[in-house]
Amino acid sequence: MQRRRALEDEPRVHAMIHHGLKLEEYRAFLHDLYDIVWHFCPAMAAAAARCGDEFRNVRYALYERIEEEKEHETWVLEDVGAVGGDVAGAKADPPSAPVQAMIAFNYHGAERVHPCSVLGMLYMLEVVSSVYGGSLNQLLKTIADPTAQRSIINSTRMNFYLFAQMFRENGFVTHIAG
Amino acid sequence: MSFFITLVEMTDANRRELETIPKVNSMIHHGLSLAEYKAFLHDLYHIVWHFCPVMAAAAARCSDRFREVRYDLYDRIEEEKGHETWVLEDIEAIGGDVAGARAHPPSAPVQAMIAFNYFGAERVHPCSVLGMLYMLEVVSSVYGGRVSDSIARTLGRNVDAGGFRFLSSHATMDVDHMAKLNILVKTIDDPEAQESIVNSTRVNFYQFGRMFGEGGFQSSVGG
Repeated sequence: MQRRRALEDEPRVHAMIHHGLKLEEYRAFLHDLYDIVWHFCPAMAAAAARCGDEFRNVRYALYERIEEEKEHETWVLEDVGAVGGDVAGAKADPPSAPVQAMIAFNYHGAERVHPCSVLGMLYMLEVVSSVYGGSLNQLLKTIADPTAQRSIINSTRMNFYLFAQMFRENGFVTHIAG
Repeated sequence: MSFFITLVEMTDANRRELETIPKVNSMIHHGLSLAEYKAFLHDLYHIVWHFCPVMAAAAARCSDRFREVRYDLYDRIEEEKGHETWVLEDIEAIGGDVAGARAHPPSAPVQAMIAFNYFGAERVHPCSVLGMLYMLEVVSSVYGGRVSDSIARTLGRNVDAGGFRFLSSHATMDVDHMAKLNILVKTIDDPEAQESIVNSTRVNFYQFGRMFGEGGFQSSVGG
């Protein structure tokens, strides 16, 4: 809760919610978003690959989400193109440092901490975009294992922290030519 | 131009940015309070814990095209292994919480830095790991000695009397490591490998800097 509120307190997040972004800022934001979305399904796949039958319902929930989310990175590229952004650049150049760190953390969590860590990524992105409605809540209620629970809490905090960094001076604005 | 010089030049702004962080500046000149130093060592323990496994992940992905990198990583693993226990000894020596350092995750920026280094080694390019080595060796050889002296002075302790083994030994050791890294980095002529090293160095400086900001090691002081 604290981390979500901290996100809303970020001046650029606040400004974006109330006043939108300038065209060049939106292009830069979409560049970072492209890489987040590109890694969304592979990060879920890495987690699914590590869920034993103890977390069978998590594994199947991840399969479903992969099915729903796959290829949405092409939507972001279409948006980049539609606002006159640099599609080839978005594909070729790495995202900002905090976004690289966020993507990296989600693989690290899934592969080296606990596969359920990935639910922290889903939770953060769900809160930010409000896409999934209640299905994630249902899934989270089924997680009784304390190690899995701790990994989800830590991962949620990490994802909110890093997502907020994306709106700071070393975040997406670094893509703005200058 | 030698790629090592290119690397230094292309990432110099990121290194200088580190020095402008108020907490980094005050740590270099005035050390840390005891509670802060304990919190700093907690984060450092995790950085050092992952240092060899990250190099191993990279070594495992170096084909013979990067044979020299692979063998250099083997040497470094041999030299650095077990050094996380030095950090635990330092924590113990200053009355810190050894079990807590082992059991609890490091601060958010340190988790992110560790994660990024596995990601770079495994999914971007094995040479990405050289960006981690470069950042840590710059920091250690340039600031390590001054920082351990400043902290010891502030705490009224002697650097040789326990609590500073990791920082003070690495400051000297890493001058030699940096000379070796210079020779290795010069051999990298593949453009993709070079790009991965520059990017990784920048991200490592950035994440290391965040450790001294909001959400960094100070967030666990007295909390």
